[in-house]
Amino acid sequence: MRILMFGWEFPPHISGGLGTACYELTRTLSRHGNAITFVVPRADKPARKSHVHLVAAAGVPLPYPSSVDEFFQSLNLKTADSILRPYLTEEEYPLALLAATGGGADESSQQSGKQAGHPSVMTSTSHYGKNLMAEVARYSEIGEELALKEEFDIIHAHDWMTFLAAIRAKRATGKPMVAHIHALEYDRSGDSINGGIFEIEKMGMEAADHVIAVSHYTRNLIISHYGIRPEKISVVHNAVSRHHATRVYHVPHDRKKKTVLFLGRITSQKGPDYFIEAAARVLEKTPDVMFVMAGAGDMLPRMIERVGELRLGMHFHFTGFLQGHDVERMYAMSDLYVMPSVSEPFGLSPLEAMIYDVPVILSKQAGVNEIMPHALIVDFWNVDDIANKILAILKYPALSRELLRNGRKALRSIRWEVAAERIQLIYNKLAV
Amino acid sequence: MPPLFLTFHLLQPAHLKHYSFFDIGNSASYEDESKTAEAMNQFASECVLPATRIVLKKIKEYGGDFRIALSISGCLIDQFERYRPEVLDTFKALSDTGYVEFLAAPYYHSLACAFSIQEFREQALLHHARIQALTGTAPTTFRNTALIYRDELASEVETLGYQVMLIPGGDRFPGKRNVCGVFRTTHGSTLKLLANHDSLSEDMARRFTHSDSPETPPTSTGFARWIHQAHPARGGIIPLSLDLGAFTRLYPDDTGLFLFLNQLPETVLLHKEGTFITPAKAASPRSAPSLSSKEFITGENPGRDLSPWMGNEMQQDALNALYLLESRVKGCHDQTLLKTWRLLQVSDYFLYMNTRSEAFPGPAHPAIPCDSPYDAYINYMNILTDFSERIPG
Repeated sequence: MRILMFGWEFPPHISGGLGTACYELTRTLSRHGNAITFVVPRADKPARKSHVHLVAAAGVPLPYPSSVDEFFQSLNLKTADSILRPYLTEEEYPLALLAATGGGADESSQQSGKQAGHPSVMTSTSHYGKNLMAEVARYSEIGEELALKEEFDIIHAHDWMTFLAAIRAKRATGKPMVAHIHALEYDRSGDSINGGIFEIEKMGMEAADHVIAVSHYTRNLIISHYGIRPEKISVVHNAVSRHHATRVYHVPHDRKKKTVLFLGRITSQKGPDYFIEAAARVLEKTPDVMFVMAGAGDMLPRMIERVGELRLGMHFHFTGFLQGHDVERMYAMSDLYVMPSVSEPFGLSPLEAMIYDVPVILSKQAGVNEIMPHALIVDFWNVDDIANKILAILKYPALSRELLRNGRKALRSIRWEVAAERIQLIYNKLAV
Repeated sequence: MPPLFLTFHLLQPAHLKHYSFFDIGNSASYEDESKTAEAMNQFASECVLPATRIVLKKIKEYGGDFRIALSISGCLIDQFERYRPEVLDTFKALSDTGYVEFLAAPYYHSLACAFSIQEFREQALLHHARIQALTGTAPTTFRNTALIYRDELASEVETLGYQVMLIPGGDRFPGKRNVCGVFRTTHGSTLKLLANHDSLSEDMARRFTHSDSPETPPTSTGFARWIHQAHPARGGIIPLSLDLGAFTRLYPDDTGLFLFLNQLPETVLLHKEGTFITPAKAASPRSAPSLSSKEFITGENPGRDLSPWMGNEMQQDALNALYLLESRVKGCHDQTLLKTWRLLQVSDYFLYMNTRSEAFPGPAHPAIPCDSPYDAYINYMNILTDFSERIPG
């Protein structure tokens, strides 16, 4: 089948779970015989061979095509000149625009924690819109243009920024549309949602012939907050690939001092403040712990300040934004990963942590719980319970071993191939 | 139809408190008494009292032709005494008829037999005394927690003075199949072993949807017919061990257990040779075949061994930590500490830490009061840590 796919990001410019998900989904879908044209709103060069880590994992079936070129040949990567990035808010947009025009680039990429080292790709900016919504609208025009030029059977759009493009492509061609929800405005912004984004999400899902949610948690939000008919929404859980985990990191490990990790955007959605409060409670009971907060985001300055107020500086380390091998090394160094998200549609990172044999504590409000029962589950606001569970991991070693033993077994059945098969079934129904 | 030996066992563990790491050193109370009280009240009102009343009525109606055995742990008797003392009155009344045999058991429904034979012995003696005080009769038959058995244990049970021991049947013994009825040990003792009819017991408690008996909930007619058809020419007896609570949880309205109990005596006794029997009488033949298992086996795990309670690292860690405290606890001669230590031995707490969902006893089991096996372990270890810090020395 020929798929016109609208996305936000694609390797090598991955800033979060979405880029990884799009990469893995297109990879497995193309192995099912689909020809995918992937539209990204970035004026970057298309991904090249060198950007892909191709490693045969021992004991795990090789998840990659034997030839990377073969894969990229089957995937037609299109770019629309735009500076859209998945986690941009209206407030951040002027900064990103500034970065794109050559001023204050470092500052902005620290702020949103994305694409460090790649400001140069955005040189010609004269035609960029003045605000985010204008950019979304412009991207949608390009979407329509591409739709009229390309031959395809199905439109598949990932998250709100691409929905207007997909709707226009559907109107122009009459082809069936799939709206794939990786995150909702409700997840990102809680109660202070952006009405415009909410409207686009709703419009996209209403226009779509079928909606894919990354979890039942997200599906329920779509039904309750957006009023979309339940029978139109399928759940396709994300997965995790193991290709990174073959690298062995020899991390000097101080046996006495344990490392507890928070890794993610430092924004209210991810609950970094609960992590710090829980850390303070833990340190009341034991001093032999190092807490690491890896990532960047608008809450970072306040978090650093809070650690100072609590006089926990000796036990805290802020790494800033990490990517690539640094992320892997960080996991490998850790004894525990904590994800106290306020609202997490899926949450890939806990599965990645488990691949590195790191047990995880997850918030109840995370879709990944639905497929990973071998984690400690907490309410994100219950700082005492988070601390209780961190201490349990530190004090009762049998707990980590049992979590990991069972987790490893469960991870084996969490595969992108399974997700692709489910999407293929949806395609097949729509294409009839 | 062979004689039927029916045992009802009663299970209802006390609820442990939600006990955080931050409670360690601050609170020595481990039981959620209001939850325990609630569960005990419900258990007494909806299951134990109505069931025992029916049994009492039927015994009076049929005289010695209808008889059963009851297995109740000591800690459960303590809980009834505390929350619903009238239950103990009905037990006394049942015992007074002379047709209900009360079985001996480890006082705290524990796995002591696998960790400390000394503690196992002490719990058996405690329970013996408790039953004797309650009923006025000394028990002569021993039923271990979850029917756990191995040869060494049989010797121990015999040394304690028991004549009969209930054991798992079916295919639980290595190299054996369809084990059921009266057996003896291989080491020349006089102890009689009564092997449970595993599949019938399970069917009655959990999935009474055998093709011969499409009735759900089970009816006594279907049940009697089934026993008759399944074992038309067999000698010996059919011992059935049933969890009374499971029965009510599966068939909660009064068409379930109570109708069944009401009709059972009549339908069984209607059959030619249909009789009820209790272990002391059942285990009379001298020339029974022998059975042996060097390793632990149980009647409550399709995999035979003790893995439902100690199959993973958390369970092993918790159990080892618990029994490592024995000499310290007993060395300080503090009755309160000793009792608390024993209350922490209730086997259900370790079952809650089981991470294999298929190993759980299914819907018949009481609702597990923890969010996950990991939470169960954390909670238990926090409690145990606090407890161990309170032992002097």
